[in-house]
Amino acid sequence: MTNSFDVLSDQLEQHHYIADTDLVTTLSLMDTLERPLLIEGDAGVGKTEIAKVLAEVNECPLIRLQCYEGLDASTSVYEWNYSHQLLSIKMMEEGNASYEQKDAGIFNEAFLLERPLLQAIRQQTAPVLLIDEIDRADEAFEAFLLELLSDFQITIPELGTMKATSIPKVVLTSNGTRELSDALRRRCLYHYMEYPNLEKELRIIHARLPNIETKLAQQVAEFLQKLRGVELRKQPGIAETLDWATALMGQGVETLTADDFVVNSSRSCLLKTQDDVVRLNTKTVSEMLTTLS
Amino acid sequence: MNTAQPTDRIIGFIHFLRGEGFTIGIQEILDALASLNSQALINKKQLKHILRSLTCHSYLEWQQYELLFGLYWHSKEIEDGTKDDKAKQGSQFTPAVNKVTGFSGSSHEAPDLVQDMSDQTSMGAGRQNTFSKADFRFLNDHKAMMEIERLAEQLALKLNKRLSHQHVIRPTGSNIDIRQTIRRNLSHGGHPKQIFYKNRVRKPLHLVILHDVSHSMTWNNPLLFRFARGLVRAFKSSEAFAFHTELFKVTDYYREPSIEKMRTQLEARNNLWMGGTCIAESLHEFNTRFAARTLTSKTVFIIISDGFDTNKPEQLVSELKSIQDNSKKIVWLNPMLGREGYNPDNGSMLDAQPYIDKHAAANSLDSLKQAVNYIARECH
Repeated sequence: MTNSFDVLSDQLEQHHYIADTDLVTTLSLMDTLERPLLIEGDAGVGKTEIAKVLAEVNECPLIRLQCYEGLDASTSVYEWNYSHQLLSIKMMEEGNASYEQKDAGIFNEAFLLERPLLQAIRQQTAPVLLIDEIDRADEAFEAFLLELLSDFQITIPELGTMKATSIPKVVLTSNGTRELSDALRRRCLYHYMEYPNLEKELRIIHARLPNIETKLAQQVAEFLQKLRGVELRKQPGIAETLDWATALMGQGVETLTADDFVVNSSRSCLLKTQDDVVRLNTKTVSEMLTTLS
Repeated sequence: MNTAQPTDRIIGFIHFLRGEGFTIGIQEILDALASLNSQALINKKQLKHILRSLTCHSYLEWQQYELLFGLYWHSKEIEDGTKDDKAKQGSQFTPAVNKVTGFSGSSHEAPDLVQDMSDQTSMGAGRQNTFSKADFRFLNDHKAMMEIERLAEQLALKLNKRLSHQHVIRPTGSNIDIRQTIRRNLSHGGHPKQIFYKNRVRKPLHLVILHDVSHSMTWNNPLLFRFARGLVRAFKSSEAFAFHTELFKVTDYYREPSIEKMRTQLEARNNLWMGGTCIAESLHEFNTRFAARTLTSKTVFIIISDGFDTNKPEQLVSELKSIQDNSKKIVWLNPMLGREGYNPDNGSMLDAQPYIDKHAAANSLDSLKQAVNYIARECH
């Protein structure tokens, strides 16, 4: 007999997402309890990918809000279509409508521009709402989110409170560049994602690159595990692993050897800062390659 | 034999977590029980994961959870409700505190204070709720250290962004602000009689930073380095100086894009983190050689130092007074302030305080954030 965790785990794997049991449990809870999920972890561990895969699994739309400093309600929740309102006011000037009628005429849904958060709660089919890199947004923006995350409703002063027609599956991601408020954290389930271990990384490589040679996949995974042990400013994530493996496959590499020019020159797929390139020179890479199985 | 019902034990576990500093409300308890009831078969591992998702709200709690779960569910003493002091002690993640190697021999007030403080440094992670509140001294884990360094630099860079993100509405400009135009023309029945424009405020701060790199600052310097570097890089007209027993200009080093290069160059040439601290003499040197060229009435003068000075307090006061007369604000960022056992109303700092506009703590990311907010608010 299987429970909902096992079912979800299988579904994720069918969509090439290899999830640990704790993540599967959390995703399942998110569904059962209808609570948002806050995922923290280093860049490149697969936080954003979860939302994309959830949308595929549930066959529903993915609505994404990319956060940045200065993001406000008019960009994320709703905005009035001012130019159309102005036109409407001009057209009403000649009429005999009262002030109240004019006011009601310009503040109605016809002039409302939906932004991602409002869009998400007005879908007929519950979508996956990805609020990506919430730590990049200002603290004031978190306050906007609280009402949505706890009650799944948005209040528009001119129109009143809009309740969700279907409860979206909300995934918030954070890289930890700023401490999030306790109020926001308390409204969410929490999950911290680590870099994958060797076994999981190998499974991811095979799931995403089914044509890769077994030996090459093993060596790439081992190399990445070793690389994350080196003191680098920017640790390579799963995306870097897959990029590198794809680049090696594209160059016809079947096994990694220390003196291979392609292997050494393709490390730009893994290293993203000048400091890291200096630190991990050709000699160091070659030494690491000689220790692979 | 333990005859408690599963529900009672789960509630007991949540109370146990609360005792360890976790913030868990009634809703989390109800959700935990509801989700356990909703599943057909749940093994111990799944129970652990369910409760973790519901009770942890930060990375630190996430890290502690594994151990606390084991302690509660595997410890007979705790199951029976008796206090297991040994186990309890084990539940505290006691970070290996940096051994204090001693302050500069010339500083008369430092060693006792450091001894007192090192006795109090066995604070467990359970009492430090957030990463940003963690004292820099406790961050020995290399990964955490690099992350904090990066955040400190980002915080400094953010000050620049914060200032440049301020907007002002004016009747002239290039970007029409439709919202304000409508609102301000409501008295004309919505007719846009006057157009209003949104303009970005750009008044870059002029900072001069004096950074203490003496031996007593060893703990804090890698982080405050990045912070100072972030400030210098964020504000192009700023200048930076470092000092221990001598003062030297470091603006160009701090502007170097590669941190590794910057560290190598700086450490090779300037004997960082060695010897005592002569704050007053260094300020005197600054006033004599650089003040005329660098200080203006709009300058924010930032001193990053623990305040342990081998010079006489009167000399420090005299030099600070001179700087105060020629600058807008003096902000003293002190990594000792905010730590238990440190008394700012002692020694040189007591005499210096009337001449400092803000004596701010700089022992954690949170305190640096508050200092940045102050600079953004008051110095602009």
